[in-house]
Amino acid sequence: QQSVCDWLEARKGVKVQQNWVEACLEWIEQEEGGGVPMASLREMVYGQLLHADLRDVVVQPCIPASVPQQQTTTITGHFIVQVDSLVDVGAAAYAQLQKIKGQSLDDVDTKKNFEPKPTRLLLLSLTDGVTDFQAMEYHPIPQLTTDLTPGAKLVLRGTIGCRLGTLLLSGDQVELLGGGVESLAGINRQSRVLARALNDESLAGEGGTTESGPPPTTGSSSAGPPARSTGNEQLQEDN
Amino acid sequence: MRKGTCLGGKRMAAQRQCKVLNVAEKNDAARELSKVMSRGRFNRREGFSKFNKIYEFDFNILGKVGRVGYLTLYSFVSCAACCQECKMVMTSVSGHLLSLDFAPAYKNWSRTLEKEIRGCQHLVLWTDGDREGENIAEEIVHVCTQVKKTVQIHRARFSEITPQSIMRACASLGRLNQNVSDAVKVRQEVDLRIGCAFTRFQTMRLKQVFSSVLSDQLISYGPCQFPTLGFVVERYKQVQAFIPESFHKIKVVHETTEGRVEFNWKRVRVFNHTVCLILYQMCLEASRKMRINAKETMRIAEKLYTQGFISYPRTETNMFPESFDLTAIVRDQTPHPNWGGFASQLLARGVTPRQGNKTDNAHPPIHPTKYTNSLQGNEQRIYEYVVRHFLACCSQNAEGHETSVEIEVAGEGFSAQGLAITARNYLDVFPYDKWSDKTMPVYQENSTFQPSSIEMVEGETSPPSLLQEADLIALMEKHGIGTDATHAEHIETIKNRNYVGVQSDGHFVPGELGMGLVEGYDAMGYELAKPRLRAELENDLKLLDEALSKYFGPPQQVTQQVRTASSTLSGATVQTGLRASCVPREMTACTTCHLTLLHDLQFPSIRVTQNNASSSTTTGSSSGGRGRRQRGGVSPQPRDEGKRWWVVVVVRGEDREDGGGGMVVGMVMSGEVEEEGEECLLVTHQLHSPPLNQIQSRQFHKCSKRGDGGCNFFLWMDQDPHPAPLSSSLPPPPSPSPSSSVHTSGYGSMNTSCSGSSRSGPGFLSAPKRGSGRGRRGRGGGRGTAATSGGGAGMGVVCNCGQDAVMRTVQKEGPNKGRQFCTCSKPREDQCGFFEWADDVPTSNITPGLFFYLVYKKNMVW
Repeated sequence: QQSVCDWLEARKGVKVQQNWVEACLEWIEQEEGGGVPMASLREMVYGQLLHADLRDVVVQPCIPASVPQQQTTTITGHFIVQVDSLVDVGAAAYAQLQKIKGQSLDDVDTKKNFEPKPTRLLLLSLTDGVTDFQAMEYHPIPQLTTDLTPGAKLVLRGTIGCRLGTLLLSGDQVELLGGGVESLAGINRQSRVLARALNDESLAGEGGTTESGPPPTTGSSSAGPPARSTGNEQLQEDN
Repeated sequence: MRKGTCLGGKRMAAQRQCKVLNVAEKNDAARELSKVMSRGRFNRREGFSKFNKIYEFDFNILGKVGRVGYLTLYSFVSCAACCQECKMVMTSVSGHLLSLDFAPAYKNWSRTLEKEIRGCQHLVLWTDGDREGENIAEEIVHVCTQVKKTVQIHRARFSEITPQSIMRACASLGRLNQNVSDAVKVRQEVDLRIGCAFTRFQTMRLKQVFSSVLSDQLISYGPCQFPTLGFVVERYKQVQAFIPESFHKIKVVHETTEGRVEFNWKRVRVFNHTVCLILYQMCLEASRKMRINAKETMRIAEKLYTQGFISYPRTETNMFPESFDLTAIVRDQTPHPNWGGFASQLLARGVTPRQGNKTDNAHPPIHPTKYTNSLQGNEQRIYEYVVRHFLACCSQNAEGHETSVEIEVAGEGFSAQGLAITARNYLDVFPYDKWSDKTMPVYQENSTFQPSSIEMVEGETSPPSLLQEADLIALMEKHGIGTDATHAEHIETIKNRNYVGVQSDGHFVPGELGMGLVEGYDAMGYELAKPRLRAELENDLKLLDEALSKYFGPPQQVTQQVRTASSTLSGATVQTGLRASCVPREMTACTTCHLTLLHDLQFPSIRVTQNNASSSTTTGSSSGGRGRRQRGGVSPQPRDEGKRWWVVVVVRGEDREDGGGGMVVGMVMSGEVEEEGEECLLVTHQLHSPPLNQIQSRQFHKCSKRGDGGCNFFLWMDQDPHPAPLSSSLPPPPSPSPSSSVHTSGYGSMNTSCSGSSRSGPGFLSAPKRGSGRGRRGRGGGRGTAATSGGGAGMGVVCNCGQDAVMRTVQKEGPNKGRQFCTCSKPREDQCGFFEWADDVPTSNITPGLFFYLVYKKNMVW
């Protein structure tokens, strides 16, 4: 267990709770039986990590907790963070919502409109498991789209500027690990995020109130990690 | 037997010319065609219609055929042998002759045709080359052949009335395209059937329910006008539903002596204050770093002056005295590693100072007085500036053309439009200045400047604007509703019906009735006012044009949409209220018991196909009540092999023990119904049916719920004392046995409401206007003020106005005085920045000695 913890910290840069790893390993043992080689054991734990809520798993924040308070600063390093939600603040929420609902304006250009097409500007609600903060798409981050699964994990690396508590991200600083958090899937569905931006949750449309899935497991030894394994977890060695 | 020989012509050829009747679609066309073919030598005489003149001339139309050398040209061949010059009679019609109407007035030009065809051996159809033209041509043929069966018929196809096009048409006369013509017929028939049946029903029904409000108003339904109305309503609702959001944007302004430029943010706007603030702060900080403030600049300049490097800086003189030895000063600068080369070139080309117009008669314009290459820091920068400025104003003009400029402030992109430089000249030595014209300076690539201001502006999104006529037509075009010729007509119709109103600014607002109809149908889940149904029909007609065979024989498949359409017509209509909220409860309740209508509209040669296709019966009746229909596929057979069959109607009907049932007319489609678990009645009819004015019907509505669940709702459609126009001329209905039981069972029970549910309602008749107030005419301005402060991001971009530029002359003193240029015609503050010299090669140069001015007014960047 300790070795898995150490591996996660050393290679992935996350310091996780011991008992979460324990529960994780227990669960894997139940599912797979014993005798899983260490290497795949690690990867399976890592896969679980991507689908866990970092808040329930992480013991040590990787991003300085002072970031949200500071006017201007930079952080340098390697950070695993979780995207709780994201929204494109470069376009009107109403128009985005209409588009999702398939009610876009049926329009024809009778007048020539020369206004340039606005660029996307994602605003991400992130957490490193301890501190919540915002990040913005300062330069395009093609890896991210608005239909990103809520709770997906990212690696941020390099020197990242921060202003007014907001990280300024560029594409080359972001690596998408994937994953997601089941409990966020419902409440941070794109349509609900947009509806919240408009201060009217009811606009989210059908299914707006269904919360999918139970809250994630906590670190208690009684519960295993959410038994999920999607095929698209590209497990990569850290460089 | 088109290939018949022109025997008559042959016989007559000996005595007189072959005579050809030509018919164009419009009088204008007839006149122009005559002009071309006769080379202007034609006689005009009157026909029966004063709008359709007759033009006569001689023309060797047959010779044209011969000359091209087609022996295969099927009809004129024999004639060509016998006649050279034909006697041409050219007349015209005015649109469709046989428009499907209940009372087709016999038009005067029909009589003209009938008269003129008598003496002719040939008929040449010059109607327009579109689908309608083909159909009109067929109608002309119809009229003419009734009088003269032996006439030979030719179709001339031309795309424009030019000699070439017409000669080509003459040389390649062909046959009518029956497919194309049929497509038109089908559409006319479908439109009329749907339109008249449904209009009638809707009018009658709603009059019953909302008699106090609607009185004698005709509540029409048309397959084009309804989608048109739908566009207006949809846009109105979108405007109503719009939620404004506030946003922020960053505006960068650069003011120079020669103009003010406003740069628009590449991100356009950001819907988050913090995010915008972050970017704004970064822009501000970045621009602060660039500046040496004016006071510091002057302090350094004074110092350089006292050290003898430059002339006295505090002067506004911009004219060099005549005696001034510019060449010597330029020569002094040739050793410099950075601008020495330019100075040398300048000497080689000759010093050509631009002269200003100001002098204090004490100091010359600022210039370097001594060469140096050893200054440091800001002193060096300012000395360099003075030297470069001096060299620049001695240099030749720069030339350029229009382009757009993008700048970056702290990584944020902004853009504006200006001029690009083709011949840099002085700009090579003067990187500070961005060449500009009166309205718009031009920026060099990779140069930097100090913005005069950077602002963060707040704005709010505004709803889309209500539709104007142009938008509406564009939407109709986009969705294939109607044709160019009919767009205006459809719009006019929905205006006349009070479905929509037009505001003084030309915006369309739905009226209560229009809103109610659309919302009513929408609320019931039907998309009558959506363009899709219509567009699909149009597409099918295109298919018919091109591949008729698809529509022969046993129908293939009825689309789901057809079912939707027809069930709309049945279930939907009953509960149509003025608007959804106004639908009386009792009426709504009735739909829960699946009230359907008995729409006993009888088509001539209609065949009702029951579930057992083999035992299909041909009958004039289409009503239900034949006992239980089985679920499952219904596959109609064509009554007559080789003839075209159309599935006209798909009906959502429910059987009733007492023989009541529902059916309703729907859409024309070809197809085979594949109903799953839904009972239906399929009606097919032959395309070549007798005219519609023979339709006989009496219609009534009835609850379709069977057994004791049914209510007693029954309503004759024509029981209204003021029958709809269409019904007045109809003969009494036949009473085919299957439906007669329905009649009997319901007759006398003259309820106007369906009271089958537990609620029965006095009062629903009097509650038609419990409106929410939405949709009131004149209220359509939309909420939210237009975001003029922030939303109008037009400044600095291309001419948003889209207007013609105006030609102006430079009034200001200077080298450009008297020069003409084109610019935006709007007032200065509204201009979009468009600029072009009228003499095409814009040039730029620099005035001597404006150092002082530049420092204080231009915020030059060092």
